[in-house]
Amino acid sequence: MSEHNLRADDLDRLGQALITLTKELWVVKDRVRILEATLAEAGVMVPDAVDRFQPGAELSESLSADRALLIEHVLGALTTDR
Amino acid sequence: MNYLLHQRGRASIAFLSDLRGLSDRFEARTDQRAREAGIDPENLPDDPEQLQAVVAPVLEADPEFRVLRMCRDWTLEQHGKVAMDAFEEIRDEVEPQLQALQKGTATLSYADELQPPEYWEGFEFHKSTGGWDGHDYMGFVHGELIHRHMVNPSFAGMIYAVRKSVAEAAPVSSPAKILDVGCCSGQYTQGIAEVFPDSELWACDLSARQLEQAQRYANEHGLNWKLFQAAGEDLGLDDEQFDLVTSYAMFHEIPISASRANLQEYWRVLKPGGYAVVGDVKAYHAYDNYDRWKADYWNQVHGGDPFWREYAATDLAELALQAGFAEATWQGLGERQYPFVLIAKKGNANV
Repeated sequence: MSEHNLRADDLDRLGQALITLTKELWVVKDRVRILEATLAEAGVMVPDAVDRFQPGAELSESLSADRALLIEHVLGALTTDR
Repeated sequence: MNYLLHQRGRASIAFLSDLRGLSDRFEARTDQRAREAGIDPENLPDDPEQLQAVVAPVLEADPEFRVLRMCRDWTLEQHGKVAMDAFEEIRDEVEPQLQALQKGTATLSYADELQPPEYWEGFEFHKSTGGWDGHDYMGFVHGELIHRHMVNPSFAGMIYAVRKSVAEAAPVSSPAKILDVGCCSGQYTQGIAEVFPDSELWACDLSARQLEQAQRYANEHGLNWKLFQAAGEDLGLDDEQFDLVTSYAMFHEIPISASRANLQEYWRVLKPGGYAVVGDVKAYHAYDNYDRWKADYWNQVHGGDPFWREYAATDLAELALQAGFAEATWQGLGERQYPFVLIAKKGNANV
């Protein structure tokens, strides 16, 4: 990368973007909670089922791989020039 | 104890642990780039401040190193909060168990008028939110949730074996009475109890919340530990009653003046011919100068351990001899020379 894309005076806008991302994350969290409540009301699952669910070995492995991929994508974008 | 973390706590702890592990992979690459930039351990200064001045700017110019540091800073600052949040999700289930385990075979004496040393009061060790007493169940939060679920995986599941190796290094066969100083939540005390199951075991710490967790562990396993709240430099015990006084991973958390006072106090409460055994992190002289820079940078400069450098750069054997011990050695265990262990013998006759 021959030039920096962002400069020090872009930091405020980066902060604004972070808050926007937080808001969008909340929209998704809210939606998941509504989904759980709706499923519970429909008798598809009991309340707290997601909180108390313990992933088995296969799901744990799959979650671990997805988590690693997410971390690597974000850290990769922070450290790799494109 | 039986407990299962809930979804948010489980996922957050797994994320934290994986972020630490995955970002650690950057270290080998940043080491390589340091070498390519001309950093040679043979040509680096010995003085820690000069060493920082030479090496840190080279590494900090590397974007990958800056991200590695950001990840480590974030996990240090977040781990306490994440563990406390995970506890709140399961509080209703675990609190009755924690309270029930306060009763049993182990005793715990609180200090009536504790005057905490300056290095301890209000300090957040390892940047753990609130310090050792920062939560009504901080012993469980720190000793169980943080250590078992976050720290142990990053030590390849070996932290309990490493602690026990220090007790195994004690040159005594069947000590009648042992004191563990700075026992925290009792993880090293467990190792001592496994190595010396027939000994009378006393243990102290400044933190009431950590001592309570040690008491729960002892009660759960039917161990009659005698726990009490005190600083190692002022034990409040009679002279010459222990065959072995030992400590693990405490000296790097306290100033050298307190380490000196601890050793003088251990000498006082040891029987003639008794041993002090102190395990802790690796001494600086056992590193080459680049690895020594890393230990200093990640712990003293960035790890929330303000006394790491003065501990690691001090000859503990010499300190023990000055405290009155007749013989003393300070060396690393095994090929990795980790942990470092001070073994100091009190003379058979008091002079």
